[in-house]
Amino acid sequence: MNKRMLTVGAVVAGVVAAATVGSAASAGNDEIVAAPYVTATTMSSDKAVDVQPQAIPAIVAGATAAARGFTAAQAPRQVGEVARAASFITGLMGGPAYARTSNQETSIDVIFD
Amino acid sequence: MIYFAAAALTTAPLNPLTLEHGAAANRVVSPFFVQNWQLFAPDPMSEDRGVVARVRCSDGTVSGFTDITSEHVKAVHDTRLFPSRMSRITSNGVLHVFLQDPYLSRFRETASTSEAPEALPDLEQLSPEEREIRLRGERTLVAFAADTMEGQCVGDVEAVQLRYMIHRFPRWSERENWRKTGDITVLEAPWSSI
Repeated sequence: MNKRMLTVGAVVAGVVAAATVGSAASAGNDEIVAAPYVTATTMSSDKAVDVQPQAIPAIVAGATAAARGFTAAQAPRQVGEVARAASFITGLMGGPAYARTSNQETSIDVIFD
Repeated sequence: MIYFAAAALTTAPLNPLTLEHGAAANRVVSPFFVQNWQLFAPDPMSEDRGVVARVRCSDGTVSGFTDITSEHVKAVHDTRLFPSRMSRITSNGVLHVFLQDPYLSRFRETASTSEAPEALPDLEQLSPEEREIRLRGERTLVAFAADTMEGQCVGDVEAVQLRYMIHRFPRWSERENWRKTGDITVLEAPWSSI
């Protein structure tokens, strides 16, 4: 067994060990991950928000209609966004069920509120 | 060279070239070679979204709400090297339901008078592309919930009701307060027949 094979073996063993330790360490976070879902399952319907209660002014409908050509042009980009969100790296890294990266305004709010 | 140009076009902000050649560029990079800027300019995560559901059985009984999301997130956490892909079903479904055209979304936020900013616009207020994507997401989640919770019915599952959970993480100024767990908003959808 030459030196190169030993090095590769050591690196692979290191990656496996790190991933194993990482999985074990994150097991303690399961309760934290599940806690919001407990709230969601036990909340009464009175306190839950109707999924579509927004009273959007008619002007928005007009703008939506006017922008149809524009959004059609955006469609390939939207498909790209979805593919991006569903990319392999997302699954590999795990994390929240759906971690929405924030838009610029929200980012500023998150960091410098 | 062609790939580089296509990747640049699909990641660049909207511009006349995107409008003209966006579809062709997308055909080159999708679905396996999509690029994004997140690795180099990551936005901080600000919230977590998931879904819980309950079912109405053919005999009229209604189950309690059940968490159909975190179990699969846990499966990913437990196996980093070869993670389960089941969590993608709910995450992609929720992604589709909430996906809006960024420009129209900005306009809606400005014009909205609602006290529930997380809530979704009416279907009539969406562009055809947005509407199609949202309906596809809802169909996926309803089918997944019905399949997951099938055992809670003696007979068939007749309808499913979804709740979207939005967990907004604590803000930066609250970072020293370890008791802060963030704000949770629950959006309740109407019943969907199977």
